[in-house]
Amino acid sequence: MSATTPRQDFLRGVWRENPVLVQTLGMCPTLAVTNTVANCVAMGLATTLVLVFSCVLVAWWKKRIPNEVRITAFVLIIATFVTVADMLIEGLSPTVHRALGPFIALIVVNCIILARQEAFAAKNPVGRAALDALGSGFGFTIALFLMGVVREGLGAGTLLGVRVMPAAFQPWGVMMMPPGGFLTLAMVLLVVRTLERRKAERRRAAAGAPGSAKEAA
Amino acid sequence: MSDAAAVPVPKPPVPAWKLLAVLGGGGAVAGLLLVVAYLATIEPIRAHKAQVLADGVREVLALPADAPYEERWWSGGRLVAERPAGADDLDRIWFARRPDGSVGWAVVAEGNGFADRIRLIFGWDPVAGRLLALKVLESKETPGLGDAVAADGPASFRARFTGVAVSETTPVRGVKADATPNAPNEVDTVTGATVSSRAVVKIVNGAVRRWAPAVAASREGGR
Repeated sequence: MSATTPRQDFLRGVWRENPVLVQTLGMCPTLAVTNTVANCVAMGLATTLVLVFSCVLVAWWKKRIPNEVRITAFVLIIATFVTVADMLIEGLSPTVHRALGPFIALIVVNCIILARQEAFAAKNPVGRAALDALGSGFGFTIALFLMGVVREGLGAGTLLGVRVMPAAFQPWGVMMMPPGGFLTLAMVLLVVRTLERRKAERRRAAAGAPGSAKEAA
Repeated sequence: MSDAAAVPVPKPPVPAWKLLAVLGGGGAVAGLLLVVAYLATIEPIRAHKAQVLADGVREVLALPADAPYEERWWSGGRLVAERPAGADDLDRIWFARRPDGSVGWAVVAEGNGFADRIRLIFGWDPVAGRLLALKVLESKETPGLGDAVAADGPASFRARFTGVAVSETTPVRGVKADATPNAPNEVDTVTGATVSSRAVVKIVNGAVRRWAPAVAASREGGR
């Protein structure tokens, strides 16, 4: 891997390799909990927290974990961390736990976490792993937030519970339900990929080098 | 470049004891962490649940804060004041004399909603045959749709249960909100939360059926 700056380590996950918008990972929470903006932010931040801590742990112990049992060890780390966090949140702040309750357990099976551990944390020093995890976590949160804005805005006419649509607006009930998740994901991906493609075309035009190899990707 | 140089030297196999040690050790550490977290949080969690229940009982019976109420356990086919020794999993019911002199009973009940179990508490005056108030304690209904049944406020679904007639023989009926006036035992369901609304009605009716004979036979009897 070529040398990268801490900035690149962080920004990679935020946009260029955004876990949801580019890698289409973590679809379960992306579809399931994005019907309100508050849910999105809570889920995004909770996942970021688990992501950072578990990636730091994996990067720290990577030499002691044999390759053969690494998946088991990674999943054990994630599951333990999530369960302990679940208990602590319930013990310390029942209100937060009430709001997050059903989502916390979902974090265990979020494949973004395992993917970052496998692809990055297990091969890189602790500091870089932490930055990479933080970037991916923010990228995940941003993607969920985009989904939440569209779904809550159209599905309930509100953002964070505050009415934003005119009174005459008839909420699209379907956006709150599972099909709304699929529709919104498709719309968001379409917009993001179109923007990215235009940007790439402009860059190529500016460089005067029509590269067609990347076009297919 | 020779061919031999291109072939990487195979790593020696990891000894079995090392795999076992890593997984066994990791599992032991994880188990230890979980047990510590469990023991550290079990008391605050239990205390919080008890507080939520106490607040709920006072709320649905419209009692002032810190007002006393009594607890009865369902044991051996009747209501007893003392929790029988060794019995851990008995149903409970609460009652209190309300400011207006009537005796209100608070019932906790749960059942299937649209997404998951709905757990609620309701206040009930069996003598007058009407509900006093209802509060959803736990639900994971769809945000934006089904969760409307757990909402608070003067126009909320839970507020519609106050004063509704109910008895063992005349259950509460959930009806679509329309212009026709409701019968005493009818409650308007929430548009967009039809399944969750019906589930709440069903849970209330089930609990009334289950507790009515016990309450009527009890010494307090509601009078």
